[in-house]
Amino acid sequence: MDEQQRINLAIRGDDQALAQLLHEHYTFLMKYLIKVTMNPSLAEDLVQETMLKCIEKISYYNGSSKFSSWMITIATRLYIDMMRKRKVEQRWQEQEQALRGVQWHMQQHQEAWTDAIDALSRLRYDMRLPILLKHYYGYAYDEIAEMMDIPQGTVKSRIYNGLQQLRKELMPNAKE
Amino acid sequence: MRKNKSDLNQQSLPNSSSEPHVSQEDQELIDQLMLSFQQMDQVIPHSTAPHVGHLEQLITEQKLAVRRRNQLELLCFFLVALVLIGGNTLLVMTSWTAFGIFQGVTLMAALGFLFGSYVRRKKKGDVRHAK
Repeated sequence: MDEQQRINLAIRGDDQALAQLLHEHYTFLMKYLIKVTMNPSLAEDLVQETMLKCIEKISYYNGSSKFSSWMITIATRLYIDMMRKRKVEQRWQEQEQALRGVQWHMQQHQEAWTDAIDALSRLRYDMRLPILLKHYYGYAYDEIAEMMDIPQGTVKSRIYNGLQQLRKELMPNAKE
Repeated sequence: MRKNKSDLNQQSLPNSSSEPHVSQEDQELIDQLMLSFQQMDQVIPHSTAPHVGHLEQLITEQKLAVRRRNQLELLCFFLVALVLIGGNTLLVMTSWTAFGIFQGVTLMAALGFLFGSYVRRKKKGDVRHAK
């Protein structure tokens, strides 16, 4: 049975087909959320929430985007909502703790904690998100705008400003 | 799942006029960032996907919870409707003028709310498929 057939069955209320779909997309979603949050435990919580939301909203899925994109959209919005609700100080403390964990994991695997990762981790989440979606996942501006529920112009400016900020941190001598 | 560069280029062809030009410096920076993301993907441990049977159980429980919540919302809706209809009937029986004023104010408030939400939605851009 291919994915489209499974999606159709899941929309019609087949629990087994939906379970299979969620199972197949679990790792993809988890990896996406780890890169978004840079915090594995937060990513895990968000995966759970995203899956519950998918179960609740599966009947609204209209196939206008890929199933994985639909899941990413839900996860992105849940993450944005979560970040808006949290206080800046709480966010900063959690992030610092999580980053130390990520740094430790990378050192364990003899991967360097590069300046690029460091700069990325310090970038505001609302700038990191569109950069990741645009350049890593290859989504178009209008798709990102839809995912983040913001105008296309804002997506473009956030990507531009995010890259400028990263460039300033990584190449302090580079021209503006 | 991830789209590669060639896919990206092909997909973005129709919109190419709206794609801003990426400078050589920016491209180098982007490549560096993507490499970092890939490293994170490989290194950071994550839990494995739950067993399909466990997910089925989760789905059943969640659907049950949603059904209960919907039933509660429906009950609240009927209660509110009952109070409103009962109150309005009482108002009609007491004074037609008070009933007219109440209806007028309610209508204006509803129109104001609709207009407000329309303006807010236009500012943000409406997205239906993810709701």
